[in-house]
Amino acid sequence: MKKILIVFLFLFSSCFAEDFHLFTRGIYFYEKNDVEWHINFKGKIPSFCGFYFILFNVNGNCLYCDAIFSSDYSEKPFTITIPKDNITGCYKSVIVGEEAVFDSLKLPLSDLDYETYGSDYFAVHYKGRIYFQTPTDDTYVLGAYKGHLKVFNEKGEVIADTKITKKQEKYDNLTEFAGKREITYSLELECRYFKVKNGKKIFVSNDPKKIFIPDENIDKIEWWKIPLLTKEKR
Amino acid sequence: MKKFIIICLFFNLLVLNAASLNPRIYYLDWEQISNELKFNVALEKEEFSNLDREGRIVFGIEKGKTINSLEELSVNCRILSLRTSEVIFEKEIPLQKGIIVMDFNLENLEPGSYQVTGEIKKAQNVLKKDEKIFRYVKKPMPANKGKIPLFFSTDVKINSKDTFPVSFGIPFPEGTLWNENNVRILDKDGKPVACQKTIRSRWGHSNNSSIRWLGIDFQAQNTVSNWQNKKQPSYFVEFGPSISSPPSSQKINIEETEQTYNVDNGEIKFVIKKKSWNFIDSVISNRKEIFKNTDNDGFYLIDHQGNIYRASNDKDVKVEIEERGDLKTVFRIEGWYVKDNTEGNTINYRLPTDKLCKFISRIEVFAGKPYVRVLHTIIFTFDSNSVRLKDIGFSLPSTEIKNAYFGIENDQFFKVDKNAIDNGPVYLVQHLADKFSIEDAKKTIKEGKHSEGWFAIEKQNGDIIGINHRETWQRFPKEMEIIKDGIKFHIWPAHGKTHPDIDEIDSKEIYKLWFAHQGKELNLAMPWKYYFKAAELYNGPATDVYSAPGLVLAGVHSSILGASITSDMLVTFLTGENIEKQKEISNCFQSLPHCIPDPEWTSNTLALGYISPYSPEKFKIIEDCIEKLVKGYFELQDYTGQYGMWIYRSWHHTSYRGDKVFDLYRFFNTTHHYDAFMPWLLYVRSGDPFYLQQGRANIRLISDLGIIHYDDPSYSHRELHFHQKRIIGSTRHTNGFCPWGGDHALMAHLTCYNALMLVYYLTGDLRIKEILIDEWQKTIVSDRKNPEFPGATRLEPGRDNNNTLGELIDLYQMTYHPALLIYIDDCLKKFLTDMYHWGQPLHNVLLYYKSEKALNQLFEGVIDWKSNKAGLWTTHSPHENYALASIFENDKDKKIEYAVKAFFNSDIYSWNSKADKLKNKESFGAFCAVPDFVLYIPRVIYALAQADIQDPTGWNYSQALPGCPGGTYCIVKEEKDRNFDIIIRGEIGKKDAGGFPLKVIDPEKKIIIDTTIEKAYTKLTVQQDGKTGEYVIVLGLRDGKDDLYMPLTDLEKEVYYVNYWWQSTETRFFTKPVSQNMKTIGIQPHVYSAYILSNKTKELIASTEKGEKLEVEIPPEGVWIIGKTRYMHLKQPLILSIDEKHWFLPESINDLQFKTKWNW
Repeated sequence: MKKILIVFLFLFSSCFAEDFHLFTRGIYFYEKNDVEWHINFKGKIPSFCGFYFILFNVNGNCLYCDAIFSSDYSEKPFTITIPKDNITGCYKSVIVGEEAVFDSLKLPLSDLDYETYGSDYFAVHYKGRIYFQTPTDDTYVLGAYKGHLKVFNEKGEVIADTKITKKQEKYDNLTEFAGKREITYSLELECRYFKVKNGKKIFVSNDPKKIFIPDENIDKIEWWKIPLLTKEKR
Repeated sequence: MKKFIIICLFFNLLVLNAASLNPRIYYLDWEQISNELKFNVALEKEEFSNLDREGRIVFGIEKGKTINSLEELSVNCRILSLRTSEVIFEKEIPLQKGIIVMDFNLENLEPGSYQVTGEIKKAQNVLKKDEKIFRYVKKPMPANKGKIPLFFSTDVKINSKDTFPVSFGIPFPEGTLWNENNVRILDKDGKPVACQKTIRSRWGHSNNSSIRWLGIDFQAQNTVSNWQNKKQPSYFVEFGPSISSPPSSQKINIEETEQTYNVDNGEIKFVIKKKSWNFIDSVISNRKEIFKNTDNDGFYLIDHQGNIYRASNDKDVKVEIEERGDLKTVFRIEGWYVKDNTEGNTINYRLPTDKLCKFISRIEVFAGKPYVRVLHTIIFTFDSNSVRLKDIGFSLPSTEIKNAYFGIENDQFFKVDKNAIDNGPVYLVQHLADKFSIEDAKKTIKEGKHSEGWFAIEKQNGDIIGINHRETWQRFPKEMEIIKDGIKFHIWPAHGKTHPDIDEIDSKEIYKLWFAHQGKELNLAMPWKYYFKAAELYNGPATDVYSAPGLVLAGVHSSILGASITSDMLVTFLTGENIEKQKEISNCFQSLPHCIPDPEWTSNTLALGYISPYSPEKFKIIEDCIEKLVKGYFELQDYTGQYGMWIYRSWHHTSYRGDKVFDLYRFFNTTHHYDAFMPWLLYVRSGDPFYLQQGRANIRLISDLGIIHYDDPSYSHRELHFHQKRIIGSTRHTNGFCPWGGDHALMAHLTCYNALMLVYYLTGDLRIKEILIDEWQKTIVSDRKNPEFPGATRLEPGRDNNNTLGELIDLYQMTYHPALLIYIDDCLKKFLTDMYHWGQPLHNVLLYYKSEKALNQLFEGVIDWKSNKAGLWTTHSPHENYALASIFENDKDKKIEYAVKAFFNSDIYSWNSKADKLKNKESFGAFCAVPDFVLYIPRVIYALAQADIQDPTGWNYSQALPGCPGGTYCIVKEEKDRNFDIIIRGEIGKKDAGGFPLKVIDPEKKIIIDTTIEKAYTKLTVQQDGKTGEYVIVLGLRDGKDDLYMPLTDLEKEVYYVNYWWQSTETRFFTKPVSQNMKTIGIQPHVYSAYILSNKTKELIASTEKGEKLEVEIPPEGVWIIGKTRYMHLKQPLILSIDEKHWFLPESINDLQFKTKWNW
């Protein structure tokens, strides 16, 4: 009986799953095979000016660059289609807008198998477990803003805990761990905001299968210059 | 009834000696927002005098969450004479509302101190207690009569038989003027001129209080500006108990009916409709109707879908007389623009909506004048991203048009004949600040730079109807349109265009907000490309509040909802005149003549506090510096083309980088260093029209766009930074990159309502008064439960609290709303523990509230400034502290010392060289520091003048003695044998480091004193010893431990022989060549600034701001070295003295060796 219940919960867990919302500085996609793929914005956009969305690839080619206007996309998502184009690999997108936009948009955005959120600063609107990978083998210092966090390894063991470390930097409670590339860690948060210190970033998702480490060259692209090359529609 | 009798008995039984105070006790509502029981006993001020006549105590109660009702509580109030220990008043007052006000008479009080004790009680339990002490003093009555010249900033250029209305304000000292009827205007021949008076502020809360600011309206004849040539005033204000003003020969008569106001000003008669308000109607001049309005005319706007909204469609419009007099009457009209063919039932911030934008219009009517002034304010009620406007207009119908005229540059007009008018509209569009074109439907007829801001039609019978608009090219785009059946003035053009040749996000253009200044539609949504350009310019996509891109992003997210725009217009109705008269009236209106009372008088009244009149003769360097800075700043705006209806004229926070590029960080809405007060302060102390012009434009920008006038609770928009919604009366902060965006506050460091108050006092502008009282004050006293109130009320100790304190004391003196005293009480408590200087808190607390504790803390602070007790020296403006200390100090020597320290602490020499850069349009920053310097300089001059100091560089007290490593040589010369004292003043042996050694060597090279100085103010006496000549005092001073002041002796000659020195204050030393061979000197301040001044002219010979080497020729008459640094390196040894008189060339230097040698 217990087993049946577990299977039932597993099968239908997605029906009850909480929506995942996250503030991040970058959203990364990986197109393994050349396909037509889509980005769907779902949710009500609170900002009257909307938000700005830029999607580009490792070569700095812009696939999309425009303002997405304020509207309620909860029922009917705003969809961007990226056609099959004989190109595969890593893409990055940036959303420029207020935090409330990130609180509204449902993740994941794309229908690709890989989609991860890379940043040195996150605002999390989600109660479940968050998974992440580090891009390098290095010591990572995490700070929980006015709250606490725990880091677990793949075995589910706590490897860092701000409550144990008891180190503070202004409003952040700090803890650190030795990160290993391509190991998937997880986080338990008792805070809305958390940071990765010392100019480093991590790649997170609520679905560990979607995480990948993007090509580091994509972060060298000065994406904020792209919209100036594109005439704004008014 | 029974309850009422019991309460009355209760009141009466508990009153002791109340008759002498004759207290009037009443209640006011006070929203209960505190979770805890809160109780304030708030005094109106700490020192009352016989000039006040009445005093006020306010008890503020918030019951908190644990008490159910205010009615469960009572307040026991007791007043005790501290001189006699007699209780002079005691009363238990049951609570009905959260504020109890007790106004009482002062006349029967004996001078002395009185303790007010308040206890908040529940049944017999005292829950909280608060005590305050006030003083009562007797002051002599000031002179109650006088004659004050008026200074016109500009000419009144009007035909000699005509006049033009002038409205101004004049302050009076406390206790001087008790009745406005005892004031009149005299012309230069002493002939009384009719005038109208309005009390704008009193010196106390009661109608028995003397008058502080009086508004006067009169009609001036042709007058030549006399602010510079003060000897030839054309008009005077005379006051005195026997003075009365003559009645006006022409009066404004108003008849009110149910539907209309029928107005007759002696020249024209017209109707103002109370329903379907369409401006004015049925204008009759010379017994014939020269203008007939329709219900489709007046003010209107058109949205981007083409819907028309008219003021005349508003059924609920409110038309009232706001100010009434024989010479000038002001009608106030408030309503909505309502869509055609709707009932006006819906209000939405996006389309569709029946109502789109509110308006407040003021029609000023002047006796005997063929024109009315209209100040039309549109309050935006829509979201910038949802609604655009095709047209904002004001139309007047007309028939039988013969000719039309547009006023254009060089005092010319362009004539359009009937044929052209019949063939379609002809319009002048001021497209850019320097470009207008007159066009018809097909072609451009004429082009030029500046419209003169007027256009008019001439009818077949010769009647002329004209619309005049102030600052038209400065506030582009604007349009004046002539159509077959009327004229239209477009606040936003119907025939506007974009200018593809302008790259609106170029670094030289981006700050001009072109998106809101061009195009066929008014689109107030800042495009996203502004953010990306800022990110590019600052090389990174920052989004935070402390970065320029982050603030531009806030601009993209900003909304116009709640902001307003005001247009200043004059509508003329001429009959029997020609177009030249229209032009003359328009020219007068463009300059809007204004006058001020003699600044000397204003200064003496103290109504504006301690400010000096403009004194270029006495304090040239200071006045030149201010002028270069403030004029240079606005000239830079002209040079960089900062014009347009949404940005003219702003103050910026950070820097100018040169080549027309500005730092974009905190570019708009900078009221937060009290910037807006500056041009008005400089105007009122000089009469200089430059400041008046800038101040008028700046205050309109701030009051329209920088303050929130409307909220729609259903509008969910929040600011990007700090996530605030809106609350009426709140001032925008500088974090939005547009004048209508950014976070905001009602009470915080960023507000500058004080500037608005001064504007109201000086000009009588009723829109400004309304913003202060009906928006700002109304919110802070009666909208405290608004969910946005806590976020807009930043009263943490420090600059936010303290700026608010200064502002509230000023507001209280304008409105005397009792609730303000509760805020003042709370703010004052915090201020006394943290005096962080921002705005005018200390000045107002000392001058108006008369806090003894604040004064003591100031005096302690100026003596022991290093301790920074109570945060007194946490300030951008140390000169303000010294100036105030000087003003309040009674000891003559200290008064002088502080005044001079105020001068030096203003950093005047550094500012002078910065001002030159600004004047020359070189890179400059930061602008926010300019008001920190400028605002308090008039107080420094006041202190210098009061201490009778003409030249602060010739001052003789308490600057640092130069400390020299290995031993400081002070050489004095005794001409005549006598006792003389060496007084060691300053700080010795900080951190228990013990004393320093001191030796005195007499003229025979004998050591006569050899001691250790342990304590400051040690006095050593060199006895009369039968010798005269040079005595060498060798002080073993230690850097960082011993900071001494000079001079050490009272001998006439005292010099310091140095090859390097350190100093603990800014210093000014005199020096001369030590030999004929000495042609040059070299000095180098460590890191900071030094200035070398000519002794002959006191002008700058050389200067550095960054510690560069200065090498100059030294003339035989010597030079002054001003050092604002800790350490000074020298190319050669120097002999320094405190002034020229003390300097001599000592022979002893031949025997003295420096222990430390320095490389140049």
